[in-house]
Amino acid sequence: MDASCPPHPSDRADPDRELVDAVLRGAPGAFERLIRSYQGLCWHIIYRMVRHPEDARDLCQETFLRVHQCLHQYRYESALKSWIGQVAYSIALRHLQRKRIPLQEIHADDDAPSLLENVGDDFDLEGAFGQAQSAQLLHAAIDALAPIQRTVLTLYHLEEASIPEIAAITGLAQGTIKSHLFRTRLHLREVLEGRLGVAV
Amino acid sequence: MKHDPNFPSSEDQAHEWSVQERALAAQRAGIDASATDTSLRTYQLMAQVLAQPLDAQLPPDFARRVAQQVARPVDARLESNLLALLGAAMALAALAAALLYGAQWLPALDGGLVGALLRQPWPWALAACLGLTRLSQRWWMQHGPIV
Repeated sequence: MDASCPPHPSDRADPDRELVDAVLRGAPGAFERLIRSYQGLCWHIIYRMVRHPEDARDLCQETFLRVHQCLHQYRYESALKSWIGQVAYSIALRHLQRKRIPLQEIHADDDAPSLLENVGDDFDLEGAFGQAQSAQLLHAAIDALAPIQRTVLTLYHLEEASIPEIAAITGLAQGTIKSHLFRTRLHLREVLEGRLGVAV
Repeated sequence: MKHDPNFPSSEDQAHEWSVQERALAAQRAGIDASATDTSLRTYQLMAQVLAQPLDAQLPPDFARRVAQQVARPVDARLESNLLALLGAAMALAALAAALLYGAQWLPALDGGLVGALLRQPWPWALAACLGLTRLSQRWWMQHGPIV
């Protein structure tokens, strides 16, 4: 921030700004506090992307070391949550690219119109499977998703991030994120209703 | 899978999206909205499963251990500053020794291997390259793109 500009009144109450200032000042415990605040977000992004717990732990650590190293470059243009999420997402993405793991599903036969034709309103889920088995089917189907679909779904449902927040983290257009969410949930619905089947 | 940035592009898609979102809202509000609509029931179960914590978690002391790692470089920085200071003192001492006593032994180097080497431009170019690479690496780490 320009030293000649007085801080905006709302800035004084901004917990992100206070936390960032404290970390940059080297205040004792500030960086640990920052990690505690955002480790869940980073874990959700990275673990969902790479799925390997050991690799995910290392990448989470790499994320926070990078955050510490580059925090002076943070300009408050987005929420700190989105900025840290973006670092985590980029680090996980680079890891997958190095391992040549496909990031998105490339099946041409599962686009939305055909999926919509395959699902019906008359399917009795609990009658067919029971809740526990349905949940097990769902977990297997989520694991089988491509990394980007899995991560977008997790950010939206588990992290309760909004679509603009997910767009800031992943760099994808908001319409593309909605499309990912829609098609992935439709695909899971079809798996659940037993029309595609998935190995459990 | 094609992803349309102008989603939803049809009424069917808009309707299905609305069912998905109603199921999510009902799950977050803790309401069972599935009595009348089986698709809503499927999506609500999906929302419940997706909101469950992941099967693996970070270790409880993760934040403390990572914070300790970045605290340590304060000592490392002091050590590297002391090393730089020592290096500069040694270079100054070498320069002073060369100025004071060089007249006696520098001519002897002229005919030797070291003298021949120092008269070539490429060892100086190599040293300059190494120094510039090291400096640019440090700059990039501090000011380059975040990832």
